[in-house]
Amino acid sequence: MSKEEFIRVDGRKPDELRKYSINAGILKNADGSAEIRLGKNWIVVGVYGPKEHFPKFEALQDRAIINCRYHMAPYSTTERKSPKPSRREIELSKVIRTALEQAVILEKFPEMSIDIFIEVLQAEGSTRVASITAASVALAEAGIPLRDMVVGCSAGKVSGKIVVDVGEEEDKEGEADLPIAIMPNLKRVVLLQMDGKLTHEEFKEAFEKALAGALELYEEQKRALKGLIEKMSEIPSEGDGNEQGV
Amino acid sequence: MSKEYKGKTLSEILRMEQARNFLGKGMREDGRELTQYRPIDIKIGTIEKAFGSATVYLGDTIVVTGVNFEIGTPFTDSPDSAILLVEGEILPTASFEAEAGPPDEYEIEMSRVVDRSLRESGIIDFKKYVIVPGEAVLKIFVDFNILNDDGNIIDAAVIGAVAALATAEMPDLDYIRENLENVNNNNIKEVPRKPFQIEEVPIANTIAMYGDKMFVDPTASEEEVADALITYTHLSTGEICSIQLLKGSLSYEDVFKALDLAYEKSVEIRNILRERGIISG
Amino acid sequence: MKKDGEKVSPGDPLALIEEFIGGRNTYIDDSVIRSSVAGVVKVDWKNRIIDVEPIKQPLTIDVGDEILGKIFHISGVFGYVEIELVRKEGKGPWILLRGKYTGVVYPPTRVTDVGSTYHVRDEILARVESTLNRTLHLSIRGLRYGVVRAFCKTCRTELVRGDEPGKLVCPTCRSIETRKVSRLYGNTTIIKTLHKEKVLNTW
Repeated sequence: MSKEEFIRVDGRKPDELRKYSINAGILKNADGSAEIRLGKNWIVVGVYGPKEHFPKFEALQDRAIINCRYHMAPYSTTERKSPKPSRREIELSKVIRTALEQAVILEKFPEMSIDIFIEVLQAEGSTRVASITAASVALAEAGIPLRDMVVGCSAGKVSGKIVVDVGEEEDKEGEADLPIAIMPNLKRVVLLQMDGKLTHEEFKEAFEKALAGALELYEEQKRALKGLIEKMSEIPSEGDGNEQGV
Repeated sequence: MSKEYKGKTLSEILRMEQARNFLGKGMREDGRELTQYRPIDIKIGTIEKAFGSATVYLGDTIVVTGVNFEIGTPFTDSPDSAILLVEGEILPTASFEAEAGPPDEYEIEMSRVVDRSLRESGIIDFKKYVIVPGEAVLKIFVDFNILNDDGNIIDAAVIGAVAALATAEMPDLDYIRENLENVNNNNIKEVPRKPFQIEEVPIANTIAMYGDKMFVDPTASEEEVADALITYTHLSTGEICSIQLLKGSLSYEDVFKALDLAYEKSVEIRNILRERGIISG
Repeated sequence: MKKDGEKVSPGDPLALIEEFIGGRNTYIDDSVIRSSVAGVVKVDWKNRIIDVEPIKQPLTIDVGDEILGKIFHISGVFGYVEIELVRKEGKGPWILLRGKYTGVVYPPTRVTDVGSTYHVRDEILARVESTLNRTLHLSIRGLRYGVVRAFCKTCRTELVRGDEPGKLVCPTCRSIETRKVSRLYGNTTIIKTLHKEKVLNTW
């Protein structure tokens, strides 16, 4: 291997993310919502709350409870998936929830709960990190106070090379997959998983690549929110909902 | 005043009053005519991974539909007939009331009405998709999800299912027959494809009643206050292939008045599908 | 440091604690004041406070808010209220709530029999007096506050105002009941008032 750049199965360079876009405020009924497209991934997140937690005796006295569901649509995968939640979906719901809990200022809403519903409509690898990235935009859109945005990206080892934003093909063929999620301003890691084999040096390289990818996506999160702030100045702020004409 | 409001809380009364102020006067909250649909936007191929897909925006209602094909064993009572499975879910993102978990009775009713609208319509010629009689047939999955529920999800879901099926590509059955040993449900997406043929276009139209006012395409809040809701599904021939009284009761005359209105609207929606090149003819 | 009118998102640094006081929708991490929301920076140079005007404020019920709700349970003298509408700071429009919120109401004066103040099924207009121990403590002191709708103990007909203050009469069975009655008592009056004060529709 000389200076020649390594080209990936989908034609990307090692440091290149797939095409991406994030939109906020796409569901009318939700308190906060966002969608992310990353390659063929299409993930929609709806946030409801904060609302009074039921049953009341299960509420926490000093902070809010986050309910998080990561769910894949039956048509989201190459092979049709049963709509019932799998063990994988339950695990991902948990790791995504704990990642987001690090950012949400839960103490502001004691005895309340916040629901985060993640719907993967089309999956093409690295869905958990893309889900987190969209979910934190949806939380921000709901006006729920956050210490920082949470943004995720993956890196992996494919044909001996460390690459960023692992696609589905690469995940199947590759030697390792490393999804991470971070709080970019506070410089903290909130999700870290690995699956495969990496040397310490490779892990370091993969971590740095994933971090760089996450920081690129963080700019897209801010762009999506900026759009909403611009809209805010157009309409006089009078709570949410429509005024009744009665 | 008090008689009608007996047993209702103030917030319920406020909602009822709002309905009275619009529907009672023959008006809609969003300024529509009683017999006018909200804008319909249909995007085809939104789920590239599926064999067919469509996303329908009916006002603020959003439905995503995916069509998939698998090889399945036919039912013993119909060995030379393909299998159709229609499953719909209201996602918890859809509204404040929607919940995660197993579907409730309203969700299952909605899903079954969409199922019947497709199955009974003859949209699919089940005899056409037999691979080996008695042994292997095409299993057709129509999965749809309500992403945001602002009412009239049945009409939107049927439009979505028709659009996804009409534009779907299916695995070439001749190829499967020739390679029966090698083709299975894990690699069926790699089989050469052919356009999927639909034979009929069912259109579902839900008619709502408020007092003596009859209106189409109810929003979620209109559904809540409606005295009655009924869905008719029409074929291109003008025949009816499915009826469901979803809520309340109707007078004998209104059953037929609603039927006429539903038919008129089905022609309109059929034309929209035609104009956008989703169906032919 | 961020300028007045600048657009920020959660986590963005706004200023240092040596320079400014963190105001609304900010928090302090180490010595940095950061935004906790997406919105626009507001700098108050005179008082050296930095706030962020948010794109959306989550709905919460706080001290000073007015509520309308239904008593669903009575324990001792306490009435448990299911809150259905809220009016922030007792001004502006009423907001129809989507979720469930519960509060506890107390009789405004010492009573031995709470039945002369309110009953289960009564609807009340009250003010949030405290949120101590994470409970919404509701007060019905004052002419505006109290029972706005009540139903006959025996026949469930809606009671109407009696001749004497604090008395309600059943139009069907003529029985007389006592309540802490709001001056806005009765379907017609309370609904007219709600419309006058405007109702925001969040359903």
